[in-house]
Amino acid sequence: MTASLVVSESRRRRSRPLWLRGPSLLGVIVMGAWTLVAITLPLWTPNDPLRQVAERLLPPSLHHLMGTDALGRDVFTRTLWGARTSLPVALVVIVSSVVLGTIVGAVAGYLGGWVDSVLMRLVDITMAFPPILLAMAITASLGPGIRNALIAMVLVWWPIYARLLRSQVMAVRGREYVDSAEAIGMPRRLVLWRYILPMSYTPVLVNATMDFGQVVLLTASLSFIGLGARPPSPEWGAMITEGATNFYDWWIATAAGLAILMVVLSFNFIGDALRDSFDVKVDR
Amino acid sequence: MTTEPVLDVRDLRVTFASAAGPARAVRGVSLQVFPGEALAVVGESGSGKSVTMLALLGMLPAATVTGSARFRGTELVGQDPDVMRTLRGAKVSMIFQDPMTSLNPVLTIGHQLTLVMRAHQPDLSKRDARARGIDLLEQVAISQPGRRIDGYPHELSGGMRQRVMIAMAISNEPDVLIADEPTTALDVTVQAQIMDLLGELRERHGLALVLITHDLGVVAGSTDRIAVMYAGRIVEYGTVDDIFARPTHPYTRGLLECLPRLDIRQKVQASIPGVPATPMSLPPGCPFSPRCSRALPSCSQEEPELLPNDKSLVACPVVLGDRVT
Repeated sequence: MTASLVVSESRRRRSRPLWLRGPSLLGVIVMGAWTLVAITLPLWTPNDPLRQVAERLLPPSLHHLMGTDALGRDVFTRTLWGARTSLPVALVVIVSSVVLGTIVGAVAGYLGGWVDSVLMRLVDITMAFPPILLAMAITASLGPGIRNALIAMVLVWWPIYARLLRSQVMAVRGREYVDSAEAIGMPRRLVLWRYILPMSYTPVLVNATMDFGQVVLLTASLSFIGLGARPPSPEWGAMITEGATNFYDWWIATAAGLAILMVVLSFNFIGDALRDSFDVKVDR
Repeated sequence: MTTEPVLDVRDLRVTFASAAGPARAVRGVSLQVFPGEALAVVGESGSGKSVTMLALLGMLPAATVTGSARFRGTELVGQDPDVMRTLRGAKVSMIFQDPMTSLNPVLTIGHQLTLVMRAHQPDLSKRDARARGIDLLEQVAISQPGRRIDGYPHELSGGMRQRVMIAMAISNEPDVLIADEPTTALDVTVQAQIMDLLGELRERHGLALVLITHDLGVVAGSTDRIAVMYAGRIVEYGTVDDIFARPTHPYTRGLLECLPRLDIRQKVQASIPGVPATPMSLPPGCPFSPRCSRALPSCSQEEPELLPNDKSLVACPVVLGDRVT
């Protein structure tokens, strides 16, 4: 009787996945809300983000929740519209980097030898530069703009996943079921794709989640120094730059800063919980 | 036997580079496997029996392999890795010791079977592959094959997983199946079932079997010939009947004496004194001489050749004289 109670108790506790509990749940809710806002915003936008709607530099009020900026545009509206730049950009950067990094890391780790050496030296060279500096240099040489910033960020970001996946692939490659598959004639393509990758992608998934916030931050940083989104488009980093020129009208930079903070923190919470829930050693 | 051997290995040598110098794991092994025949390769851990087989399948990319190993006339040593990949599974297949870790944990059994079959038979449709998969599972005596095919490896016992491994290994109808200690990780009753299954498949498909084992008990009922290996060489090679009835090499005798017997009361289990020679520490002359009860001073001078003795081959000059009696 007691035993069955314990079992059902632990089952009930386990029924909700770890990433839907505590801080992670908060992160999921916040990001869900931001995503919803980003998708549906054109249908209910409080104001036009690009037009003057009131007097310039009005402090926050009920009518303009985060005040207005130097051109009299509604800061709250612009902050919401910023999600329509930052979130898709970060998503594209992360997905492209993961795809590129997965291909390079998997091939390098599985084939080994000179292929591995060449690919990993490429990774080493890229990772020898601080990411923000390299992204700045690439964007500057391609010409400022959100599309070029995106390309630059992918080029800076993929080596992290390549290296991570390579080490995982090398560990899984030595497992007996991989040898066993090769001994009965499974082709390499299938061994890598169906036998090795499913067992090695977890850390990449966790890192990609955590990095999402970092990429939002990097996008904002590039825009902040004028290499990303160009004015007048509402982008969080660019808004902080605008806020910095009107330093004592604190609400302009604060609104964008809070948006960045929410997104970065949410993804850190979710990533943390994902890492714990994939790790069999962590007591839940 | 007048037929051509399916597998003809001549003077195969395998050397691994190591920090402490070359490790000569296999030092000149020659053996033949004929169609439908079962050959047992017997020896202690580290005697080179598994390495020999892995080398001829081209699965030791880090090792230096010399000599010759022909499959129906096709040279396997030094063969292009891509060609080897098409041969593995379709011509020569291999299964390993531990069925608990030999299957992909994230794919269903049917999925794994289908993948390996369609890799070698691209014309096979998914539906046909599945039907053949069920048929194969039935052949390896898995109950309810139609249901099991959609199961994952963790739902099966060790013996059943080894059956699934065998089904996968024979799914492309190879001519030779190499089984590397296929029953070591299993219960004794399951061991017997697996050996029966291998024997049955051998008869039904004309499959040649190479059984790698350290367990002479497994060998007796289920194979035709034995190659006894010690320190990377074959020390005795002959039919099962000959070797069990008249073991000649002192090492083979020692192994047979080590088999536990139920018909006499034994206080102490017999064993061979000393430790097996390793590729890194080969004694001079006959590698078995330091452990051999019949060693002569001359034994540590020169490594003996494998010479004909009655119906079998023996690498021990000391005992060659014995057999005349």
